[in-house]
Amino acid sequence: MISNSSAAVSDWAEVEERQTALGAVATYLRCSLAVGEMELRKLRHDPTELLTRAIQPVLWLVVFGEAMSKLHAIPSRNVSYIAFMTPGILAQSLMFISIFYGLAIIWDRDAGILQKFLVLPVPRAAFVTGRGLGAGVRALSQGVIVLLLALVLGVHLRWSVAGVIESLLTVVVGASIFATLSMLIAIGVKTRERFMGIGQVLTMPLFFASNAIYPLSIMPGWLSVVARVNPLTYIVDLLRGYLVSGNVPDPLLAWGVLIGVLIVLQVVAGRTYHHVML
Amino acid sequence: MVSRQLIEEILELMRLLRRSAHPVRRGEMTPEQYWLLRRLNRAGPLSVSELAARLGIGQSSATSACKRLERQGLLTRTRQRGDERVVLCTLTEQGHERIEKWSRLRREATGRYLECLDDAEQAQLEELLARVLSQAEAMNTTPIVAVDHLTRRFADKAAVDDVSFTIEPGEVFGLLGPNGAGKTKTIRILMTLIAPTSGTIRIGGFDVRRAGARLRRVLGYVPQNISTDGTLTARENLLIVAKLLGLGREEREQRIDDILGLLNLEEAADHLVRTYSGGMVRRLEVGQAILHRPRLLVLDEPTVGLDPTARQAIWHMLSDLKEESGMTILITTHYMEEADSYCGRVAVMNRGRIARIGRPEELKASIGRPDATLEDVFTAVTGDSMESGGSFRDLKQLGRRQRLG
Repeated sequence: MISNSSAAVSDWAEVEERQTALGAVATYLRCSLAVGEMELRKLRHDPTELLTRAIQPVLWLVVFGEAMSKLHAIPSRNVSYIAFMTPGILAQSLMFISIFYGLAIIWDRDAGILQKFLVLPVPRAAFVTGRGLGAGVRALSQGVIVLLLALVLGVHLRWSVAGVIESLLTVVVGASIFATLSMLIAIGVKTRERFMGIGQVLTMPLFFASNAIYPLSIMPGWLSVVARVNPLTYIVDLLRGYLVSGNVPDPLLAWGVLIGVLIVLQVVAGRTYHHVML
Repeated sequence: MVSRQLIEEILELMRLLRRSAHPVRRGEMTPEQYWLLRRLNRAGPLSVSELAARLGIGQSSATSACKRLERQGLLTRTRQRGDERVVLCTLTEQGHERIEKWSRLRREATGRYLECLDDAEQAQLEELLARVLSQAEAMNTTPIVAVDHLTRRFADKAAVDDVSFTIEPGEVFGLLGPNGAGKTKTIRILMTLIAPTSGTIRIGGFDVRRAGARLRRVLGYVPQNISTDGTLTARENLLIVAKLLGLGREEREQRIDDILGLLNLEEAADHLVRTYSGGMVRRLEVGQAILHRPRLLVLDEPTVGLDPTARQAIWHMLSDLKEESGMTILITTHYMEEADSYCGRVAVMNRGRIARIGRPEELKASIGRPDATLEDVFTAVTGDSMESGGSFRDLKQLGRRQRLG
């Protein structure tokens, strides 16, 4: 008899080993990138979704935008209405596609993909971050489409390399915010049916309670207050500044709000991610 | 390789030692008396009842052995102060001397023998003893999985109800039972996916609740549903998992190639998984789960919905894996004949509890008919609950699985 019965256990060194804080951060970043890469590889195999997503902004710009421009019903300061609304439509379309992004984790749960990943030695927050990143990069295509469309329609934007890069950066962060919010909803409601319901209920208020297609100044007081806490408003502010007016009213505030909201959503979703398991 | 001759020599040495120096062999005393003296020499004065307990003999035989030894002058018996019922035994000077003498004789005999060995023989002996030691260690391991009074409640219903079992390292353990018996829930708790309501699970001695995140480094899991991404290729599915595991580029590519070979998926490696047959998907899932070379591989219904050939292929692959890596495998299945032929031990669950546990032969023997199968055991255990088991969700998932397969 060998008396030391813990001998069989103590050689599980890979379990004993604890990560340093720095190592944990490195693992988290590495895994987030891997998850993001997975999302992009999926897109590469089936890019049709990029094209179908282009339809909505086309309708808004070509039909709604042209019609409203003729009416001159909405004050757009010293630019044409269609130029005024183009950043708004870009923001709206990235929000519309990102807000349903969380469906993927319910879908993955119903298949066994989520379970597979949750059992890997990977920080669970990395899945939320990676997917947020994936959603952000996906939304870039939306940015490119809307900008191309503006070019084709002859919308008078303030074209500059810096402006385009800054606005695309805004698109990535904005899409990550709504994708993370969407994942948080998915974690909370857990079923496809309820998720779709909530997604539908959210999109229109987020869109109309923002400065996407009309300025805050013409809103009734209560609505402008709501619009001021809507992240979409800050996304539109940034995009309009970079693409149309040439200066963002308060860039520090806008970026601060967006980054702050993104971090809070990411932390909450990362910590609760595994609750999407039934 | 240790020569047969050396082993024979060692055995001869042991016989010699017993003859020359063992008081029992030489008829000086009984085994009880001998062990009693050794105990006292090592531990100091002990009461008769303590001695009886430590040697695993009855109180009366311990008393009579002590009396005999006292007559020979090897120990003294005194009543303990304060408690007259307790009889304390203490070795006398003579007793100590006797034990020391025997030990000296044994040491000398051993020394004489070892001196006779040349360097090569001594090295051989060392190697032999090391082997004996490692075998003894292997026989004396802690279970790799120890589930103790595990319960998981959902609302007022216990999906897993006071379940206890252990799995030994290197074992193929089957968890059987009808739909809704609690197999998948048990496995999910084991895999750190859901928390237990009460009870403990230790994997490799580590508490799952406390070391969950670190334990995942040694767990491989193939869930019940399809866990590969149909919109990626097999190679990409493996690649993402490898990247998440943090394998370096070279190691990553090497392992992925190895696994694709093992899975027999080399030709289809760059096709979208969506185009795969059910058996191929299942093999790929196993591949994903073993990329990090886990110690415990858990598969939830890996053969459901597959045709017989594909099922067999999965089992052969698992057997090979076990042979090569010594991995422990926990598996749930509906197919009793599979459990019978491939599992070392099985547990049959019903309504959240473990109804039977043991080797398939034992369970079949318990039925009491000579031609009983594991199927009969299953029916005997589950009775009418087959009808009420399962849920809409199960059916939906089975449908999805079979469409793919």
